Amino acid sequence: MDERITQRTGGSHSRAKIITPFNVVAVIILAIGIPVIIYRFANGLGAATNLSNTNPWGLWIGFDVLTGVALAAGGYVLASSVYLFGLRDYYPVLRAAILTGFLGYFFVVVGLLVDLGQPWRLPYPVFYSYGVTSVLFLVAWHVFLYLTVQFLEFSPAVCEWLGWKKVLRWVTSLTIGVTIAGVVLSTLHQSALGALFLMFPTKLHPLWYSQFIPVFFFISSIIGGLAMVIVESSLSHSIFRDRLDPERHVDLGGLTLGLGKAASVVLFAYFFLKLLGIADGNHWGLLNTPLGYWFLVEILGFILLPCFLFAFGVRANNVGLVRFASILTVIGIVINRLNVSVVALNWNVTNRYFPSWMEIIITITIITIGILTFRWIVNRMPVLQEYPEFRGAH
Amino acid sequence: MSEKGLLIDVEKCIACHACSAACKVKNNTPGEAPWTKVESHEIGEFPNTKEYNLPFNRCMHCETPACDSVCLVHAFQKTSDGSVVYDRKKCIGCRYCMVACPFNVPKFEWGKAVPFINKCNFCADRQAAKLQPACVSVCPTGALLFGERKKLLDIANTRIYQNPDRYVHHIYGEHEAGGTSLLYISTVPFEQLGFKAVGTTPYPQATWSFLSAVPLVLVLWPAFFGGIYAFTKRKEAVAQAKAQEETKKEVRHG
Repeated sequence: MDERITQRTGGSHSRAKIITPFNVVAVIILAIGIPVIIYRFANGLGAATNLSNTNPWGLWIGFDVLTGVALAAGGYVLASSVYLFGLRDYYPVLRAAILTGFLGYFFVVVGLLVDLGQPWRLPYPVFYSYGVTSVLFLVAWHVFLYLTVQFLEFSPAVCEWLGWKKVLRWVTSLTIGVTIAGVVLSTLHQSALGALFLMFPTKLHPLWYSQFIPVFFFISSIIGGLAMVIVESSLSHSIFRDRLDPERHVDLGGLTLGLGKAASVVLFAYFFLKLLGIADGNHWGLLNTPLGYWFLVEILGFILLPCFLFAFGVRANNVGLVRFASILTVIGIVINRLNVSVVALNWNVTNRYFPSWMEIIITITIITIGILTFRWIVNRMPVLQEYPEFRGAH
Repeated sequence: MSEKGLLIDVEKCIACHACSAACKVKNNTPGEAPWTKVESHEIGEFPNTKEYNLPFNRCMHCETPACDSVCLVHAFQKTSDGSVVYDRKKCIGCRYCMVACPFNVPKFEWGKAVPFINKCNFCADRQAAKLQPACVSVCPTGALLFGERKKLLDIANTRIYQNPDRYVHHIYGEHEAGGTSLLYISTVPFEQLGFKAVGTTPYPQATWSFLSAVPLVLVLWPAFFGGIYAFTKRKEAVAQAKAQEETKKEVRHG
């Protein structure tokens, strides 16, 4: 029994070092960020942000919410690959992907709470007043349901940690059901986040405004999910080396190449869809404008380039190149979501928006709390390794 | 009740600001977010300029309001008398209405810790009491005219036809964004007064095709992925059976 507990907590040595560079930076960020969050709630959005009547949405919607949801897509992408498409080889990176997804969504909601005028009314669309004609209503319901689904998807790890075998049997029996529910909900709310922008035909720059924007958001969420799984797994496997199962060798390089291959194919499709978007509106002429150049940077530098790098990396068995391509892809998703929601929105007004330092600090603080939570869970629960008594039970 | 409207004749406005004062008194609107405001535009080249004034950037009360269609808690409502009213008891402060409104009308109380949306409600309470909106009741020149929208359109058309050389041959609001309860006529082109080209399509239509695809995905996607899973399961079962057979064979041969 004692032996098992030692194994579960990872021994005392992993927590012996408290003063690490990461911890020092994290504490500094929290020491600045948490008072700023309190300031924002005490004094209102006007005091803390550069938002205005012309630019009511800013960094928090563009990054914390839109980018957060897109990069948290690894959960549904990998869960459906492993359980529905039968790609069992990827099981070793699945739990971390589901955890990243779950925490990603959780902190999207935290970010949203900071952004809303009446955050305590967040449950209203689910429990109190229904605006059924709104795409945002669909998003609210789906994020609420998907958080539940993701909790169920991750709960086997919690049950194994707590030793709740009966509950574990029950949640494991739900696996296929919740995986299918997760894919359906994700398809709809990932694309719905894009569909939000269909309402801004006169405000969103024509190069980004397209009838296909829901499809763009859905396809790019698959890309963001795959790239994040590569980035997250390579970081986790080097940072949490002591949490890995010494008896079971995981060929992370091989899995990375496999994920990179998938990312390359989807990026290629996404690139041509983006071209189709320009062709559909016949906006080729706009490419030769300042925002047009920026659009080209997005689709050439952060879609087509990583697409080729993934392909070369996979062919040459170069895991490092694939990892570099996924970092580029993640940056590309950030750029795309910020372009749609900030750079290209209200592009034709004189009073342009740039986030205040407090907005940036609060965003960094929320990410830091997210990473600390991830570390706390990985250091305790069976995310990167399996407990011996549950081995092969999946 | 028939749908009411408000006809604003830019030519008749003398910039007395009585409408905005009356509005502020009646609705107790915050300073940072007035519901109506008189704007002045100097048009022409110096020294041959002329000043045009108009109550501008006030809610247009669309026939099919974008704010209502995007509100996830249904805080907006188009009433049968034409007003688009806002219920602050439901609002969660997401500000989607502000971004969606093609006229940039809804304003946010940025300075408050508990902020709400502010916009004209067409004095729905006064209308219910058979009174004109506060702004109209004080207008000394008839620049603001309240009545049935249909009749106002006739009046506007009559003014344009009777003075074909003075008025721009366009009623802003007749078809804009699918039609609005507010109608403007002017003697200078609307774009020079800051009016936006918002198109004539009702804004909620922009998301109808997406929303109508949702039930389809809800039905087809589970079936599709369920099918894939069935294939995968069968493939795994076959592979397992084959492996078992082979081990049996090996045992027999060995």
